[in-house]
Amino acid sequence: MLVLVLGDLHIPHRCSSLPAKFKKLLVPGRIQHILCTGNLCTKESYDYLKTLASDVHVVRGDFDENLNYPEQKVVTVGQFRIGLCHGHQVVPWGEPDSLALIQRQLDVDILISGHTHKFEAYEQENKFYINPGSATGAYNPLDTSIIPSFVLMDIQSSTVVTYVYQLVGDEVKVERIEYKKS
Amino acid sequence: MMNDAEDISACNLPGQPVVRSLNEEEDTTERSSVSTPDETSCDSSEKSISIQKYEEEWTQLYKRDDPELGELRRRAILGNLRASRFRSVCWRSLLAVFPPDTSQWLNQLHQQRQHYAQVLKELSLDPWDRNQPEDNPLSQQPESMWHQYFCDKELQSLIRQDVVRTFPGVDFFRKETIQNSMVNILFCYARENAAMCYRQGMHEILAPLMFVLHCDHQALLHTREQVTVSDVIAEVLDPAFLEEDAYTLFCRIMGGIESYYRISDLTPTPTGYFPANIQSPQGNGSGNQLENEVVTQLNWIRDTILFHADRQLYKHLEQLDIPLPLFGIRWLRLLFGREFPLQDLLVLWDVIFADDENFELVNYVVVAMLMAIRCQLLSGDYTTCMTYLMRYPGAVDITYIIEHALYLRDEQKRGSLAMTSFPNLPVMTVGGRGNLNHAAGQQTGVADKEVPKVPTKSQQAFLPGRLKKVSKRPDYWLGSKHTQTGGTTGSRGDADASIVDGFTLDDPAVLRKELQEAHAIMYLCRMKLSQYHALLQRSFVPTASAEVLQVLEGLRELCSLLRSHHHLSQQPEVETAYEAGETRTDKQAIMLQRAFSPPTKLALQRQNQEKKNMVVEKRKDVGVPPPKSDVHMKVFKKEEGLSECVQGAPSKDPLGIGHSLEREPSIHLGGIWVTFFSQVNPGQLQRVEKVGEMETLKNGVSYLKLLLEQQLCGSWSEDVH
Repeated sequence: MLVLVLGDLHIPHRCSSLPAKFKKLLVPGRIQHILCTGNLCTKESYDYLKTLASDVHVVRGDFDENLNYPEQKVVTVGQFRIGLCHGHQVVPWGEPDSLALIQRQLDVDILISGHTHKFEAYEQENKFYINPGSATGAYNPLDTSIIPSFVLMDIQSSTVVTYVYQLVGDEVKVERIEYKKS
Repeated sequence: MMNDAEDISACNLPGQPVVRSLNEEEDTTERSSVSTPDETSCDSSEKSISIQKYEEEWTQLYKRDDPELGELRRRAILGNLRASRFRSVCWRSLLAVFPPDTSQWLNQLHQQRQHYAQVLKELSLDPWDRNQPEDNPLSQQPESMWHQYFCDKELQSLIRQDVVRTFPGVDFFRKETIQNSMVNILFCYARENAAMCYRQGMHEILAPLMFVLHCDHQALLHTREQVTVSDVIAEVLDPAFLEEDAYTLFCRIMGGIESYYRISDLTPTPTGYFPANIQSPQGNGSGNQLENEVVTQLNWIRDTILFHADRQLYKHLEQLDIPLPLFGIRWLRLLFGREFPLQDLLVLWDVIFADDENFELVNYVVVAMLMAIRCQLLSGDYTTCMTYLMRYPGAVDITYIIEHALYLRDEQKRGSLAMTSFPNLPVMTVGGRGNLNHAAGQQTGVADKEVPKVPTKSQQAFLPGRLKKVSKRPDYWLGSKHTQTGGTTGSRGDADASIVDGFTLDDPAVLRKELQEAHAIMYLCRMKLSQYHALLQRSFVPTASAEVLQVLEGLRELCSLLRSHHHLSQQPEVETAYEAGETRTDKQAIMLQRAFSPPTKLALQRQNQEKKNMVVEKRKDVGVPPPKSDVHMKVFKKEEGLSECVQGAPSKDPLGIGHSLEREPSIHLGGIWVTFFSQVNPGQLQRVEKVGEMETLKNGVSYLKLLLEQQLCGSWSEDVH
């Protein structure tokens, strides 16, 4: 099962759209679920995600227009409980210990957070943490040179294969990280 | 047809014992299996009979030394496979899926099954299975396995959409396993034949195949409950290999009809999709090739077969502007699957498969189907016709269509239908028969160049089955066909001089008259022949030899051949007007009076005046000739002589135009003298038309026909009794 993870689009405030190379990759019919870490900002971005897959889960970022998105969300895909949180509430931003706190609160196998606009994926105490970065490469308050990135999780029974798509220069680079639930 | 049937049953029986002794080993198993029911179930004799029949049928099929399958073909064409429990085996034999040598069947079968299993295995991708670090699920690279995987999934869901809707009324096709098998088969076919891919309609070809195989399997299981059947049957009809066997058969049939599905200039993408928007071809040169093969073939059917088989229908469809592809594409692509109920369809397929390995008969079936509903079509307007064609009436008898199609085909082969050289014959490629097509192309070239020349024997021998013989008389048909408007009757040799006396030759009125005239002659010939026939029969029957009987039979057939099948559409009846205050009887009297007196100037004037002051009032009985008693009819015996005949005729001239027509002196007809007026030539007709008496003339002609008929019948009965 393919799960697309992305967030921090900041359209139209900081970026006009997704990079063309990403748009070309994201075709309907392949992805079953979309988990979005928020900061889509406008409804149009949400509608676009809806065209890729019918099942879209969004949590609220600090710049989202739609105030009805929840702060946190737990989604079960296959054998995995996946927690979703934008991350601006977690201080210091992106700090592993703070994220571990959320992970324990939500009792999830995989915690997905955003806000830092920097891709990250690591395993800690047999839990998996993913930060898909910003899909548009929008700047953040601390950094202006952001590499656009998103994550695709391929979930097969007790294994997650994570593909990381990064737009470096003019080319899409794909990395592969495997996580096994014990 | 009847004779054929007898022949077959006669030649079957003596053939069997000889064949039976060929394979000793099989015979023993056969015997043991037959003997079992005798021991166990003496009471259920019905059962054992059906089992014996089962065994017999198999023996007949399996142990034959008939590599050409002539007997099986005949059985199939006669519709005798209707109740067969080995139809799938018959089909596989007819379509050369099984080799002619029956001992090779099992080998071949194993190979085919293995082949399918291999194909299926190769095509089922599992992108998770292999470790390909550089591959990723979103990859758009053609070599990516993920990409291929998603394309396959898409194609499969496309196929499934159609498969789940196959034969909604039949429970068999609702089963999950069957649907999965069908999807697999169609998918494998699409991938194996990348140029064809999957097109809507293929599932409807596959469905009957699955059904037939399944029925045979069930019959086997049913028989096996009671006796042990031979291993070969069990192996050939193993239900476990339904999918494999269906695939093989399906591929073979698609090989014959793939041209109906192919679209030139449009090849599917490697992932199995047809480009949604047809990009204009690179050069302008191939622009006019957009018309695909099936349309070309349908046009060919219309112009060659339908044109000669039924000119009237051809013109009618042309007038209504109904092109054959409108419904014909569906007919061909589904091999008539939607047009007939399943059982009828299977019988039709029996014949199509048995007749020719390239399914040449299909072309004639289309025409036969059209002609089967010609009455409805001819009398219908555009909407009615379209309704009939889009939803073919179910009441049409399938055996009639089959026989008609075979007849048309034979006629065409013999050349009596084909009066024209075949136009650009559609390239009907069959998988792996390139050389044949090459030969066909050459032959076409020859035919086009040397149209008037009859192909020599040797040339004909090279003609592949698809090709029609070149006509011996490529005369006026050719010209008339291409100009479309002029001289389509072709009944006149002097088509060049299209204008005579200021009237065009193809004036419908003139043509109609000519047709009527021809009918009258045909009718006379028929009467005459039947008279001769009866006479001969009476005198010959006691001492008849076989030859004489044959001659008699031939005469009888000629009679029936001459019967006119084309009933001319009745002319609208003349509405007679009444002047104010005029009574019906008055009018009738006048009419009668006028009918029996030559039209004088005064009478004509009067008539014209009447037409002007027309009071609309329908009369049914005008236009119909007066009842028999009104006109005195006289049979002129030979002894009475010619003079009396001529003398008596004018007074009974119902047309009132006898003076303007040259009377044929008389025609000798089976010992009776009959005055015969109906030789009307166009020049006279035109003259009459100018006067405005066309209607009268028409009535007259039809009346004359009736008169002749009565006279002939009457005199004949006199003679007999």
